[in-house]
Amino acid sequence: MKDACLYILKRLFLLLATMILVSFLTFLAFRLVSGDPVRTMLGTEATAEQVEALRQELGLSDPFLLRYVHWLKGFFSRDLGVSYSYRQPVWDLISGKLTLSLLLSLLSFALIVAISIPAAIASYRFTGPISGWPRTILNQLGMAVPPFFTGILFSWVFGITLRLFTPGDFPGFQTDALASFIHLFFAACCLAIPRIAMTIRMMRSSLISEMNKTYVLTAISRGNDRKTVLRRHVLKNALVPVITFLGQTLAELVGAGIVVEQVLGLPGLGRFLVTSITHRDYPVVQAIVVILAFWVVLSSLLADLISQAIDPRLRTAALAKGGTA
Amino acid sequence: MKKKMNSYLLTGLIITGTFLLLALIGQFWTPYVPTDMAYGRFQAPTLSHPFGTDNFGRDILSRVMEGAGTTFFIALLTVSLGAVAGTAVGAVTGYFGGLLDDILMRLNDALTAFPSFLLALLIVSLIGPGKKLSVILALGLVFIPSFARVMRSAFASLRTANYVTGARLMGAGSSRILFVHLLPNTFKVFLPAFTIGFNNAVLAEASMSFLGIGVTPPDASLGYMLSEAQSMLRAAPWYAIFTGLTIVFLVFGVGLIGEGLQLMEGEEG
Amino acid sequence: MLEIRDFHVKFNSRSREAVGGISFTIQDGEILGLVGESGSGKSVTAMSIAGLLPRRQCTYSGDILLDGQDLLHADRSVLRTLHGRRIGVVFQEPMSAMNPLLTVGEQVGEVLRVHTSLSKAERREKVLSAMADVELPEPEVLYGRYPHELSGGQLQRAMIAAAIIIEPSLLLLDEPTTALDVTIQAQILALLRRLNREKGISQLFISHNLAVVRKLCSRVAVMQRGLLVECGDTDDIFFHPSHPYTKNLIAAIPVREHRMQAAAGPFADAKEAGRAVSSPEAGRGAAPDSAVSSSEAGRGAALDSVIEVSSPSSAAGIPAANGTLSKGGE
Repeated sequence: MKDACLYILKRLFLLLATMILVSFLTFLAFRLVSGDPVRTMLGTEATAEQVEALRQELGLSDPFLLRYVHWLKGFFSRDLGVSYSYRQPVWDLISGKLTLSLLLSLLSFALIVAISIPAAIASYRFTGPISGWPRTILNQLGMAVPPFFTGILFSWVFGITLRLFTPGDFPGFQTDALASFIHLFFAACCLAIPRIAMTIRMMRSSLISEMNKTYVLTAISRGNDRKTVLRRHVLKNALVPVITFLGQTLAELVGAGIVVEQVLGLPGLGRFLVTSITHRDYPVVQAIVVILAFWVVLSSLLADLISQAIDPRLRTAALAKGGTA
Repeated sequence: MKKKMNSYLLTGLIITGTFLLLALIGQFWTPYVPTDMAYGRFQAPTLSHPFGTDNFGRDILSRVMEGAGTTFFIALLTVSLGAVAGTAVGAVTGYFGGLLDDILMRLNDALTAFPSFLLALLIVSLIGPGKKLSVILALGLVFIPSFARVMRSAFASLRTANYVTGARLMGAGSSRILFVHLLPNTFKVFLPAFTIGFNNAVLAEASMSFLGIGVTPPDASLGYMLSEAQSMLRAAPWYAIFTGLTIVFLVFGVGLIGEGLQLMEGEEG
Repeated sequence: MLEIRDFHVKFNSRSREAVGGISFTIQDGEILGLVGESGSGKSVTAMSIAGLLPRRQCTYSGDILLDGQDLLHADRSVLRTLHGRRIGVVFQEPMSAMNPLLTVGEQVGEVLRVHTSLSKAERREKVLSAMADVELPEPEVLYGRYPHELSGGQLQRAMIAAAIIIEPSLLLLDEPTTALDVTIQAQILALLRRLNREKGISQLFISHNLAVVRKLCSRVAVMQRGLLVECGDTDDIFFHPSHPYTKNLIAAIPVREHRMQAAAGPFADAKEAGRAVSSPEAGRGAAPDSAVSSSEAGRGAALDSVIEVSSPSSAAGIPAANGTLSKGGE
């Protein structure tokens, strides 16, 4: 138990270290590449005094490392700096969008898990390990449809034609919770479809490979029926690699969500990131990147912990590593 | 040893081949001049304009053929860049191991930890959005880690194979072993990875162009066309549908090739 | 108790019959050895008796009767009632034959969970006594351990405990000692002999190693290319083999061991196990039964393959190689 706590602590520490590294690298990258943001903001006609005043205001006259430390300190008290284009605190600008993006990711993740795992099991139970043309075509088609195309199709069919939601006009949960949810749901579907196809494929092949292992024969030779063999023995084993995959999927959803947010007009983090990139609003970009990095590292930590809870071998390996490091 | 061609591979090759043929033709000849605005606005698909026309009265089929070329070649260049660099990294780390292996693999872990699309987006925004070259560079960089990982394990598993030990005992140098003995044997791992990478590249380029930070006019791009098409969904749904289906067609074809390759691999083993 | 009559199996993917019409019987309380090289059809036969033949992928005919009950054509639901209760199975690789995610105790007690209505505490009680019965040290500790935390020998004992927990009438052992070190192999053989003596459990012991079979079995059946080439009393076959294939098999047994056994005469008693442990060859080859790794199992198998015969054609070369090995050990 003590070992387990130590392990989790170590992982949390690593998480923090990764975040700091990511934030430093983005800080450095923007510093190296971007020109003088003040010049961009004020235009070419600004006087030297005006430029100097704004530099002071934005804290740009300090040395690089000091600015980074300052930024890092601010980050932990939710002070993410001031947006260049909006002249408003970054946190105020992104907090609402962050919630929406997280909702989108989580909803679509829930769809992926709820549909693909049972579907893969059903597909295995009904047809066994033999893979035929219809399944392969359906699977490959599912993976081939890009979310932004699904988004366009959805807004045409469900939005413009059936009027289930208004593409490009997200009402917001305070205004109209139901309409907002429907809007979000279609966006989540677009994101989920290719990943459902991938997860089904992954889970199926995992099931097939587990079914060929000797312990399945052992289980049958002890008098278990097919259903018990699958449920008690094979399922958990087959899930272990899929959980790692799902962890990556959860991490990727936020990035993939950018395009879907753009297509369906959801005022989320991704869409804001794109506009901030085009406007070179680096404090905003920086903050969003670090938050997304946090999300990514957190997803993989969660996936690791869950697979370790299922698989004692991974637990042993993790504890062994944690003990020596 | 002669390998049997399976039906997935064949279908995939036919689909991809058709796409490539149309894209290649599109570079030199299109049914109409893609920028000509002389064919009537928002014409629904007809025999003379199979994909219809857009808001300026341009022939969509001609534009799609032109854009398909861009999409195909950007994806091919990108994934080749990632594959060559990734294979080099994978070969060195997998074959020699040691400290370099540790360092490069940790770096790899750190890079793959971050969603590839976001990373590409950031790189593009840093080196200049809206240009073909930055898209190719950014996506190519992003694809290095996944190839490096796959190829590293392929090389590492072959390193201890008997025929490699044999070659070493015969006095073959490292580079000879790497290129003559190992590289050809990693192909069965490399090819499926290449098809998956290609599809990811197609989708990533299209997404970026759709967002307006990938390939932008005057260069033709399916992704950018889709974002255009979205704004005229009510008046010309065929614009979005045919453009989108073109992307689906390509990704589907290459996906089938990958499926076929993996199946062939499975039958062999 | 077990009767096999004119049993044929042909897999759809192969042109040759895997088993081409064999007949033999196992008497109550006897241990029958089934010997043959890989691909001889011995494992297919064992799987068929165990009711684990992938029926959809093959065609089969004949009879396999366990106390008059047809196993070959029986319905799955009928087989389920026999599995674990009347027939126990032990496989070659204990590590892969166990579910890595369940504790050893859960797996040893699985037959009880399936076939009895005992409470959890009662099951635990039975499992602990079964684990003690197969001489597993500290059953209470091992009960909660996972397979990867045990050694190959311990796992195989646990597999045997799981198979005999409600004392089936027939125990099928599919090369149960092949993946183990020589020391452990001898201990497992002694255990099997004791279980047979004390509980009267009939056993079908499958092996490619005639020397091992000779230590355990009263009768031997020899298979080659899907056919039964010889079947009879172990010593009869050992001293008067009639089929050339059997002669080859016997010729392939290490000379020293052969001589030693010939001197000992008909034996099959527990003392032999002790002798095998203390013999210099075993002492040199075997690692302590503690570390767990698949590579160790691999090493065990590799070591074993030195004294086995993989095919009659290679048999000629093997005794010589072994002669030098045993010289080094003595």
